[in-house]
Amino acid sequence: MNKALYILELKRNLKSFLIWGSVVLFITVFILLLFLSFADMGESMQVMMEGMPEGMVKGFGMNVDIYTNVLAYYSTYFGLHIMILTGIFAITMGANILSKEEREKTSEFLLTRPISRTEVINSKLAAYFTLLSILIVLQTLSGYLTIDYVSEAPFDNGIFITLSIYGTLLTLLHGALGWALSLIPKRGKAITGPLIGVVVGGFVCSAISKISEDSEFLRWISPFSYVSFDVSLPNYSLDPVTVIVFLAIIAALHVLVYVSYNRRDLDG
Amino acid sequence: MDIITTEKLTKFYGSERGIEGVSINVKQGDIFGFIGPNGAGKSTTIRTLLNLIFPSSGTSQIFGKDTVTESAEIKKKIGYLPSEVNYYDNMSVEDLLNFSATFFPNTDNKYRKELCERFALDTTREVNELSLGNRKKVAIVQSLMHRPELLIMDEPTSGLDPLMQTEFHQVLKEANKDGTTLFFSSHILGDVQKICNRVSIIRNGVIEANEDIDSLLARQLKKVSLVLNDDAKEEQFAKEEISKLNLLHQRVSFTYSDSPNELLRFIAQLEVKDLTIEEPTLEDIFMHYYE
Repeated sequence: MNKALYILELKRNLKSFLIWGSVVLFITVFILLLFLSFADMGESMQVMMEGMPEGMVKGFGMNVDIYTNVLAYYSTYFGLHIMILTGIFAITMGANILSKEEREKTSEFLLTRPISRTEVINSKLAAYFTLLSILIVLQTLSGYLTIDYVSEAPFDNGIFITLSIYGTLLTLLHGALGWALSLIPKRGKAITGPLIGVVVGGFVCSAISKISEDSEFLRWISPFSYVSFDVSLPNYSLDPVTVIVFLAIIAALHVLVYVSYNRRDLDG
Repeated sequence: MDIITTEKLTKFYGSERGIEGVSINVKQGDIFGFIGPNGAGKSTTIRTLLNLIFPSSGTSQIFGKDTVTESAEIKKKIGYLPSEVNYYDNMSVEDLLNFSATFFPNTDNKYRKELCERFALDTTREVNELSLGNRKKVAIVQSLMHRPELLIMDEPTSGLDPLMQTEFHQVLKEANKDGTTLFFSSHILGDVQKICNRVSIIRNGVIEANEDIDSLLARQLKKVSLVLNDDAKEEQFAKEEISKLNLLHQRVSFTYSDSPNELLRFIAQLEVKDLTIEEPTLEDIFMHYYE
């Protein structure tokens, strides 16, 4: 790893990290604090939930008892808002951190220094993992502490940890998709739009697939379908196979980046 | 000792030819000119040497090391001056030079400062606020400050005003004296003539000639325009050395290919009202010698 490049990348991505980080933390804490007022209305909210169309409830991953059980409440928006936000942050950072050099034609400068392409990826990957890890750790911590604050009864730590691990895997997968997509050659085009589409589209496909059997095939193409945020399921716990498959796909995508970047002609 | 050797270096972009069968040889201490018109394959050759792109076939070595497999090692001792300078935004000149210096432990800070002063470079300015010429100056300092053994330059003088060009040529000569081998691509023959001792001429992706600058100069070509006192007659100019003859009343223009002395002797026999002798363009040279 090259320390100077690592620090440069931390600096270059700091602003976007601060913006996304604050939004994620704000939503995590703010929506959990709202639970305090929902909890007061407890039963009436539950009656309202029961009156909602089943498809909508399933599609958005809502639990019937989201206004009485804090983890069910948290998991509903964790699996939607937080996952989309951290997913977009990870996929855009992953997609831009390498391809930005070519788009802005600085790759010629960087790669005429004595640095191998593998070292370039190492340094950028390290910066990417640093910022993404800080974001995930802060989100998880703030979530945990706020849940602890608003919850009157003790809650199941195991469920919170499972939720957080699934969330981390989904975010890392989106990031890895970003890295891999950045290798598709394209001259000078910003790709932020399509990237957001990948994340939001993935969520929508997963949501639609849950509504009816006709649309169930959509679940296959969405990463959201492979992790469960539905804490109301009996025996909700971490599935080791899911974890291993996710880690394997994430690793494979990163290996693909190393192999491909070491062979390609640079644009700029 | 050979600094750069390429053996039938070929690069195709899909089916489009970049360069084909390029074999050149640069020796230690050379000031090597790599000339050709725009689009001839100069940058493709340089980008292949720097492993920014991969050759389709053929091999190349710098310092005896393979440019594909040992590229990072080679670059420790190389300086590179690009034709188009692109740097990271939001960096001052100072930051950029510092960043570059972290890659080269042997950066000579005294020399760096001297270069900045000689090129009147304000190092506190932001890189993205700089004009084309000033960016070029940053690139010059950046490419030389670690006293590389080989300096590769792609159209180095583009964007520099004449005063800075002279300073730049002076800096290059000094660096060469201190042991830096120079590889210099250009489409301007005059640039190459001023400074290089050997040249390769590339056109349409193919090397047309590898020559000493002396032998190239010995086959000089001049564009001559005259205004005579009387109407010009064609038989006056029926000489082997004269080509592309154009007559219009007293006005005559032609290309002359012999020593300047012979040319002056020839002109001296005529009654001349006005005289212009110009450098031929590279295209003129190509048309004259290589077709």
